[in-house]
Amino acid sequence: MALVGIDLGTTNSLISVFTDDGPKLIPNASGGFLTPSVVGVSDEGDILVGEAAKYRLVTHPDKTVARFKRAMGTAKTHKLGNKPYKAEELSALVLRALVADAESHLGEPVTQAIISVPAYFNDIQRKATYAAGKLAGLKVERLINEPTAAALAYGLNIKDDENTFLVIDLGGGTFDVSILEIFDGVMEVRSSAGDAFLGGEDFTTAVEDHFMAELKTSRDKIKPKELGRLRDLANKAKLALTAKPDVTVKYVAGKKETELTLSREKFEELTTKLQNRMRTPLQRAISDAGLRSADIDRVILVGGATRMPVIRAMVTKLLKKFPEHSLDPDEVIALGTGVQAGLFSRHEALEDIVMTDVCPFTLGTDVSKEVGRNRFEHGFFQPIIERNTVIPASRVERNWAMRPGQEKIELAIYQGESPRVVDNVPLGKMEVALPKSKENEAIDIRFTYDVSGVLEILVTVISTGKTEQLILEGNPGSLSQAEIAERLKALEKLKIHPKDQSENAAIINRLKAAYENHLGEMRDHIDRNLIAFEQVLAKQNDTDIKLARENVVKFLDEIDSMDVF
Amino acid sequence: MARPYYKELGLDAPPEDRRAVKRAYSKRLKETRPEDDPEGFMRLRDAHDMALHILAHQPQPELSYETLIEDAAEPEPEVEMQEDTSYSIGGPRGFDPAPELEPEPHAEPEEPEDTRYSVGGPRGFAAPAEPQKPPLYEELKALINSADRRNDRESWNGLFRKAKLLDIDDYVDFEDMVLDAMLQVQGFYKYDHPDHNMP
Repeated sequence: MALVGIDLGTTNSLISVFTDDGPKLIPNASGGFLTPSVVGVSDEGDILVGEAAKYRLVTHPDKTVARFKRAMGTAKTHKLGNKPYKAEELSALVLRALVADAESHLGEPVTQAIISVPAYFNDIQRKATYAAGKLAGLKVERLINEPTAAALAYGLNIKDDENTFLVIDLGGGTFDVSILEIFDGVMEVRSSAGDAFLGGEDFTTAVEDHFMAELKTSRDKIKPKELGRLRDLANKAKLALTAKPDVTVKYVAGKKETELTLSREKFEELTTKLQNRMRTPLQRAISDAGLRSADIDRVILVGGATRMPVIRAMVTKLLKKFPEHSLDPDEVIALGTGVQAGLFSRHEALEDIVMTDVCPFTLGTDVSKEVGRNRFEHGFFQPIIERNTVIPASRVERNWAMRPGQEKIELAIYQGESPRVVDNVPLGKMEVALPKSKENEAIDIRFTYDVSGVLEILVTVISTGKTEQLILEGNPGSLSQAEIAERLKALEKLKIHPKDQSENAAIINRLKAAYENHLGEMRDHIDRNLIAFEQVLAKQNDTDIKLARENVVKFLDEIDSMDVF
Repeated sequence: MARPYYKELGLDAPPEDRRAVKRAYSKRLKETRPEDDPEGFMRLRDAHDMALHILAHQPQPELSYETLIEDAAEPEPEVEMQEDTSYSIGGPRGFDPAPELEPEPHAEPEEPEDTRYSVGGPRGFAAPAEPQKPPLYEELKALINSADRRNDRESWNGLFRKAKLLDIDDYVDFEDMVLDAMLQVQGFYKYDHPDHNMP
C-alpha cells in the first residue's frame, strides 16, 4: 500500500513517490511526467483522461473539458457530451488516471495521497479537493500548499544554512507567493499571499482575445471548434515567445489560412493588467513577514507560467534579485508533494526536517456592535484566526447575545481581510440555541485550523457548558457526505478507456487535431500518417506499434515546430 | 499552565537573543511535530512567539531611563510614550534632536512621518535637516487635509492604486505611513498634543 504525492494542477497533473533516493516522479502511459488535466468522452462513450483527451479539445470541444480546477468548490458543472460533471468529479477522474499509472509503475495498490493545493485556496476549495480524493477512492492524508511543496523540494539540499527565500508560483490557474525561512532543518513559512484566479491560462486568454480582434471576430461569434483551435494557437504562440522575440502562427478556418503574428512587446502590453495583479500578493507577503526586499536571500520561480520572460523580468525588477529555477518549474511542486509523503511516512532520510505552514487568510465571524443604547450596527467582521498565523492553530473569542432572553445566535463564518463581512468570502452559517435566561448569554467560539488548512469550529454556551461542533453547510458548491457517496457510485459505473490503449488514442487524437489545423499538402501528409498508424495498430504487434509511435511523434513534433515560426 | 514560556522551549532561563530562541525552538520542534502532536506544537509555538515578543519589546540599551528623564520635560508621561516604540519603525518617536513639529494644531497628520523618517529609519541616509519623505507623502497629506476627499472612498482607492505600482519596499513604507497617519488622526499618538483627540 503506497502513499503518493499528487500535484493536481489546472493545466497538468503529476504524481510522485518518496524513495530511498529522494522524491521521484512517476511517468504516465505516454512516458512523460505531465498528465494534462483534461477529461473527455470518446465517440464510443468511454472516458478519456490526459494526453488522449487533450488533443480532442481541438477536434471535439463539446466532448472535452479542461481548466476545471478553477471551479472547485463551486456549483458550476461542465458538460461532457450530455452529462453534467462537477469539478470534483472531473478532478477525481484525473486522480484515478494518475493512480492507475502509479500502481502499474510501483506494482502495488495506491490508497493514500498527499495532494497539493494553491496556498490561496479557501476552505470550500480545500474541502472540494478532499472530496475529489474520496471520489477517486483515495484517503487524502493531508493537503499541502503548492509554494510550500516547492520550497520543500528546493530546501532539501540546504539543511544547515540559514536562508530566507521567496517562492513565486504562477501555475496554470493560480498565483501564490510564500516567504520561507530555513534554520536548523526547520522550514518555516513566514507568510503567504496569492490570487486564486490568476495564472498562465489568463495570459493565453489575453493572446486569444488579441487574435480574435485581429480576425475581426469575438467570443460570442466564433464557433466552439474554431475557438478550440485558436486557443491552441494562442498557447503555442505564448510558449514560443519564451525562446524568441516574435512569433507567427497559422490559423485555418474553412478554406482560409491566416497568419497571426505576436511580438514580445505586444505580449507584454496585452498582459500589463495581469502583471500588475501579481504585485499585490508580493507586496503583502513581504510586508506581512516584516521583511524588506533586501532580507530575501533567494527568489525561486515555480509553475510553468514563470517561464515567460516578461514574468522573470518583472520579478527581477521588483525584487532586485535574479530568480532561480534550477528545478523544472513544472515538476517542482510534485517533487515537493513527494517529499511531504516521505515526511508523513517518517522516512529516515527526512528525520531532521520539520515543516510548518501558515493560514494565508483571516478567518472570523459576523458580529454586531452596540453603537448606542439598544442601537446596533451589523455586519462587522470579527477576526478569530489572523492571516499568516502558524498552523495548526486554535483561537477562541467570546461573544454575547444582543439582548437578555435571546433564544439563539446566528453565527456566520467568513474569510477575508475587510472590516465588513459583505466584502469577505462567506464560508457557512449555523444557529446556536441559547438556554432560557434573563441575562445576555455568552458563547465561546473556537476556531481550529489543522495542518491541511481545514477549519473546525466549536461553540460553547458558557452558562450550560454545552459544546457543539459546527458543520459548515449551506455552500451551494460543497458536496455533502451523502452526495459524495452517491457520486462515487455513479463514477464507478463510468467506462474508462483502457489504459494500455490510451497512449495510442492520444496519438490518433493528436494526428486528427493536426489534420484540422492544416490545409493542402500537409493535410494529405498527416492523413497518410494517420492511416499508416491505424494499420500498424490493427496488426497488434507491440514492437511495431512502439516503433510506429516513435516515428509519428517525431513527425508531429516537426509539424508543430513548423506551425509556429 | 504554570510553566513559564522558556521551560516550554526546553530552556532554564529566558533566552538571550533571537538566535537562542530559534535554536531552542527547532530542537524541541523535532520532538513536537505539528502533525503528530498539534496540542504540544501549539504550546511550543506560543512559547516561541512569546519569547520573540519579549525580546523585541525590551528597552533598547542606548535609550536608558536616565536619558529619557533628563531629556524629558515631563518625565512620567514621556516614559509611557517610550513604551510606544513598538508602533514605530525607525526607533522611538519624540526624541528627535531637531524636531520639526509645526505648531499649527490642524496639521497633525504629517508630524509622525517627519519625525519617524528623521530618526534613523530605513531612509536614514537623508540629511537630518531635510528628512526624506515616504513615497506618496504629499498625496496622502493633500488627501487627509481635504475635507471633501478624505471621506471619499474612491479618493482613497485611487491613492492605493497608485501605491500598488510602487517598488515593493516603497510600498511597505507607504503602508506604514498610512497606518501611522491613521493612528495619528485617531489620536493614538502624541499624548501631549493639545488636539490629540480631534479628528
